[in-house]
Amino acid sequence: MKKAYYFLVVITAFIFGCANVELDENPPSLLSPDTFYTTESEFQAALVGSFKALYSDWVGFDYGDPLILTSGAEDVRSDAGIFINFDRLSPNGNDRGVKIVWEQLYKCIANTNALIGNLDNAKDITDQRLGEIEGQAKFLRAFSFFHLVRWWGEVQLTTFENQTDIKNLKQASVAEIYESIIQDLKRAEQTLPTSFSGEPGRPTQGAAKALLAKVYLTMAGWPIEDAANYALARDKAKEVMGMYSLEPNFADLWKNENKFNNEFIFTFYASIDNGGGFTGSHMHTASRHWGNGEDGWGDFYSEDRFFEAFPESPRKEATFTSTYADGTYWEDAGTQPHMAKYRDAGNTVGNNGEGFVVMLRYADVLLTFAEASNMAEGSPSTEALEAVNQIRRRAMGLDINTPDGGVDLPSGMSQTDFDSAVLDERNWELAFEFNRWFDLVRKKMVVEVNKDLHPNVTENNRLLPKPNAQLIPGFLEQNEGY
Amino acid sequence: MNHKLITLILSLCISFFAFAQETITGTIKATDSQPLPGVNILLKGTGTGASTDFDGNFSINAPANGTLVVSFIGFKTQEIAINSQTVIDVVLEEDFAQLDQVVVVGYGTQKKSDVTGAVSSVKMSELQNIPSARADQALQGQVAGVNIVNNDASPDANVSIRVRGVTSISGGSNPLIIIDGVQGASLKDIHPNDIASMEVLKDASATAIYGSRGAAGVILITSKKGKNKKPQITFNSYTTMHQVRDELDLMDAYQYAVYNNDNRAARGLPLPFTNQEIEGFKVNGGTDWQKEIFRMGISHNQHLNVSGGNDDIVYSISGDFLQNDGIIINSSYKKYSVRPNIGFNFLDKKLKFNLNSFISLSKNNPVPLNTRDREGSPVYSATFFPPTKPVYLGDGTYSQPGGGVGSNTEYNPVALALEPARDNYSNRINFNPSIEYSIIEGLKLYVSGAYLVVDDENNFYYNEKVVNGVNADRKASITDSKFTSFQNTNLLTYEKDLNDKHSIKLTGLFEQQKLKTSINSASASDFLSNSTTYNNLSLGAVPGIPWSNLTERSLQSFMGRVNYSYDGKYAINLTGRQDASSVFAENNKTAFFPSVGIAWNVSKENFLIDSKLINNLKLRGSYGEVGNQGISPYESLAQLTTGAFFTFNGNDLAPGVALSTSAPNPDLRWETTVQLNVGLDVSMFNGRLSLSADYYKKNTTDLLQTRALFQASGFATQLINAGEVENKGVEFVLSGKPIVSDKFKWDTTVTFSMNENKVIALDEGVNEIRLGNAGLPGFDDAVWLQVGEPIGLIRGIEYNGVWKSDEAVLAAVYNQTPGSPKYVDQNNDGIINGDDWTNIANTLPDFTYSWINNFSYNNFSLNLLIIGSQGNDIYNLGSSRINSVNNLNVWTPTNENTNIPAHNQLGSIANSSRWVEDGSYLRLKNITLGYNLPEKTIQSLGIGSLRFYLTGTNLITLTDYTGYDPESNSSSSDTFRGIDHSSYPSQKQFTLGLDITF
Repeated sequence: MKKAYYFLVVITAFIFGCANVELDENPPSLLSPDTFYTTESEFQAALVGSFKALYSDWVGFDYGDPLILTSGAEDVRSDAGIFINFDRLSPNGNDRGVKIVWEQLYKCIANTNALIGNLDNAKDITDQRLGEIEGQAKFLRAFSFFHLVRWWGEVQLTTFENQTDIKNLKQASVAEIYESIIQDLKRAEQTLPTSFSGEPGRPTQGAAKALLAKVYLTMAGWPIEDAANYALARDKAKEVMGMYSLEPNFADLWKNENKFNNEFIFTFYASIDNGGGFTGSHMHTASRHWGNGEDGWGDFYSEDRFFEAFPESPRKEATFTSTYADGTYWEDAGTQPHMAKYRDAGNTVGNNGEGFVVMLRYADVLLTFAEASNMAEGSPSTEALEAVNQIRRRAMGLDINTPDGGVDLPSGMSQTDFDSAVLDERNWELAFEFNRWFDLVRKKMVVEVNKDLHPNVTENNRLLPKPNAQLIPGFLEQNEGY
Repeated sequence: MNHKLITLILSLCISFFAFAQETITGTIKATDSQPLPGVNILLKGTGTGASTDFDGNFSINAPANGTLVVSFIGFKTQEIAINSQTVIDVVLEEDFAQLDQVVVVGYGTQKKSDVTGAVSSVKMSELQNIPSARADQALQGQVAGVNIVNNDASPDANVSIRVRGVTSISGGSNPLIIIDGVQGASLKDIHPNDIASMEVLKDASATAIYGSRGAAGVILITSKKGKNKKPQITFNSYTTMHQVRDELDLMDAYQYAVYNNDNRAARGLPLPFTNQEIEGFKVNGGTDWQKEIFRMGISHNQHLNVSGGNDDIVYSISGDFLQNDGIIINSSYKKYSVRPNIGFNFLDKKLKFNLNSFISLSKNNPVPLNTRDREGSPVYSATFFPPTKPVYLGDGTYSQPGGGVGSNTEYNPVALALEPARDNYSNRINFNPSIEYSIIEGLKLYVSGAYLVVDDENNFYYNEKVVNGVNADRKASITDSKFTSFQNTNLLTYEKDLNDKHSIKLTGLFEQQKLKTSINSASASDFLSNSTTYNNLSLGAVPGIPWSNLTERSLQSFMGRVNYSYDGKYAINLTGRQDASSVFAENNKTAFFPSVGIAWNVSKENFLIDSKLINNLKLRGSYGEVGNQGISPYESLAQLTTGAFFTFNGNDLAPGVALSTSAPNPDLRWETTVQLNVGLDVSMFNGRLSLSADYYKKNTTDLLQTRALFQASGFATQLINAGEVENKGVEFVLSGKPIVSDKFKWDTTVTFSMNENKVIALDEGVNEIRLGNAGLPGFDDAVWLQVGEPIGLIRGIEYNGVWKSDEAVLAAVYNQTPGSPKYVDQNNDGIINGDDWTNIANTLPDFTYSWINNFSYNNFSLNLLIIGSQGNDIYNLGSSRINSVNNLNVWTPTNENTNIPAHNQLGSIANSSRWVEDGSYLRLKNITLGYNLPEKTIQSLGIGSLRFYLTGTNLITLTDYTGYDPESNSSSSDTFRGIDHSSYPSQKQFTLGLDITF
């Protein structure tokens, strides 16, 4: 009978002992922010995480939401239920585009803030390498705030320190936000190299300068309206001139096989590695017509008024898809003309492509220079004329550097005429490239170009409504008119 | 007279040889001549005993002058002198006054009269009347207060069980399932034939002993154990034919072509079909996609049990095989399981060792449900893939989307069903040793360990045929996950009766649980050959990024319970449990859950004890707190997210790390449910009528919910405790035996459950929360929570049909023309916009009910189960896309009397009450006609019993709902319940079955 007692004791002890309860949590598969941000590879990974916020998962520049926020301009149109309010200039603070783009921009900023705020913890990284990381992070932060301030005006200017207490962070003035953008870009300009070998998707010194030039140009217009910025824009653009060159044939810019070229200054590139689920491009699917063999979704397209006004040229042919895969002309298909700049995404897996979205290219810098120097100097200089004319010649399929009396803007134009000509040139050259809307805003033309088609437009449309769910009374207020 | 004389002489003769042991056999039946299994037969004054088998038969060795004591719970005990008889048949009388049935209450048992909580014992005979190999499906309609919904009707169906409403927004409202004391089991895992008893614990007095896991109710199952008797073999088998309950009425090819041409014409677009094509469709028809993907489904189940034992060892070993070929081509489920339970007795049964175990091996070939696109649901696609397209094109490839009609993103339904391979294997092993030791009389120690391993392997291969693509479209993945759980339960109980008046039982518990889940996954794409499918990932030119994850959670608990009863009249039950859980945040590691329950057996008071009318009357009341620890491991901690990839060169992915989208919360804790319950049990007319009624009020506070954070913080959300949900309701169970005659019997039970769910509060200063999209583009922000409204709230615009031609002036105010959808301008501001949104649907039912009827006539039996649900809305999003024939009734200037907008209306698909339907239904869930072979035949066959039956399932459904089934849900989440994207359709089933005992 004793055996039975031994059995009892042994089994009880065994059963009891097998449980090894641990009430404190030590996640075996997770990374903790408290101990991260020390080594170079950790900082690199954090940088990647910051980029991802802007280009992935159908919520960044990989898909159409940011472009739709510019659809109050003539070039972009959508009739899709989730997008239509922007095109018709009646957006509200619950619209998908407003919510998503705001979230992604701040996600990028918060990640860069965490990276920048931890730079002091870096171990065993050379100053140069750390500078490159800092420069990229600051470029991204400036890039994101530049979009925020142009779309929404006064927003919260977050840092690593204050982003933990958003509820008590008052929205910054537009001037303060621009000041921060400039500081970041100036630092980036100092620490970034002119190129990253084999990694054309990283922002370089040239990208920082080009963006800074664009920032100055914007500050010369509404709402800062400080004309002193024209000279700054001119000088900064000038620094970029010579670092890049125009692609000889405009149509080549939009070919996937040519996406690494000397005209693109800062570009988001997609990859279908791993099926494209991580970083595939989706603009091709979204911007192609749904029918007539085009195999897209037709989420958005251009507008007939823009197409009709667009000067006939090889550039126009490369800008629009006017004839569909089955040979039908857009009007005959009962559609609007579609965008061509995003249609080539190279190889695709499902809806994911290996396409690209260019955010800064040399043509923009040339036009920035031309506009800024004209406005700073009172009349167009030879250099300013040449900058615009190079673009105009290419648009007509001519040699970039050979003057052509039939195409070139003549010398001796007045400041106003030249300014207006440059603005038009920007409209054609940079169609669908997140340009026209911001030009309309800084030039205070939103009402003027829309009032016939959309009588509901008001000056308040210059800014978008802030996402309703993000408003904090007394700290983050809704924009006027919403 | 002669007979009696002979008997007398014989008895006298036998008595000469008295005191020799004789084997006495017999049958024990109730007054309604139903055999009683499990009756105890004891030789008076000895420890020798036996019990009856399933047919009431017993056999015992006893001296001819001995006395047998026959006792059974709920029946009057009888003493029978053997008087040298060798065959003794006994009829036991039911004892309504005492009804001292023993009820399993968790960590022990209790006399039914002492139970203070709301505990429903499931009648096993009812459960086993339903031919189902799964206890959860069989439980539907059996218990008041338990709402069971078949979210889909696939071979491995997803069934949701809610006990007394939905208590949580995101912490989960699944009841805790306990099989033989092992917590966190699944009702899918136990065959109804293996269940000895099943109890549903509903109120706090009953569930507080399970502390942080008990808030959503507890279902306790005891599996069958061996008995001290000769080996008995039972064999059950059935075969079921399944056919789609109701196909949707979809356009045929001709109607579809005409409809689309009309549509394009109205919009000024080119016509997709020529007249010649249309005439062709009229003559030749097109493809009926539902016919192409549906088939006659066949399932069968065999279940075998051997049980028996002697004084030292008892055993019960069951094995079961299930094969279910579903009604959608290529969907099937197969399972083998074994459940060996063995018990050993030592030291004159003072020490018992039990080993319960369970092993099952299953293979599931599911079809995806409620999803779209190239890997989407064939059912969903079948409802709007053009009937004008053939299954296969001339070159043998599948027809593809496109061509100007139909969705561009929905693929050939037959291809979706046949081509992607989804082979999901699941192996479960449960090993549950336990020891029970009587230290001194009344004091018992119980120690048990439970080790559960679930090994899942999900294999997927996608060839290029669905999209008629290239090698790059081929992809494969293998995901392995392993879940292990260890539970150690240590229980000390002390029981003492004093002066036959005071009865006290003390229970003390220490329990530890540790759960570990690991997952790893590998994938590849761009396969050079389809021949190896997922079995050789290295043949994929593009390897996927592997991933893996490991989580652990622990729970450590103490529990104490005092049961005291006085004179069988008054009972009180006090419990308290303290849970320390690893998933609770650092500032809140330990939770305490107390409860109190009282019961008054009024019928034992002097003024009622002699009542002929009322046999039993009991009042119950309870109050207590129970928790829900529905937090995932590490959710309270600060963490970074990995897998944030980006490319800097258009090809290589750089691995990134990003801030988590959810912020840490060092105060994160359990949800607490405070529940009040009052109940009444009455039994009248010698037990021929009984009623159980309960009223409850449950308030759940500290709801786990994701608070949206200001995005400028970098965090999107944070998991917090805030708000309150209330569930209150009543439950009735009315049982009667209207006809009790020798030949014909009828017993009937009606259950009725009414639950009112209401969100009392959300986060501070928050009156409403938008939960998200209903699952299709255009249906953003459909699902909400709002203070004062129930969970399962859908919002949108109120749809009021179509603007008629004579309303053109008014329509113009809204920038609309006749034929446009007419939405209600709630605020009368002349614009239809977000401000006009209103609550358009509540997806929880007002009440549910069931009606169970059992008839028997001689050897025939007829069982009927009717179930129903009333007042639940369904958001039928399937109908927004289907090629429904209803859409043929489109508005035109000559067809004004319709609510289908005109062809040229963009934006007519929006969140609106147009898609809301009443999901109420009444269903003849089950009808079974059974026949027991007469005793003579059985004896000549040399078997114990034999029953044949024929069952019809879902034969009649009364509902106005136009989707596949009023039960189907696209999501098992409570907040997104009642949204239907065309799930796996329910079926009419015809079953032929056989039960034999040897």
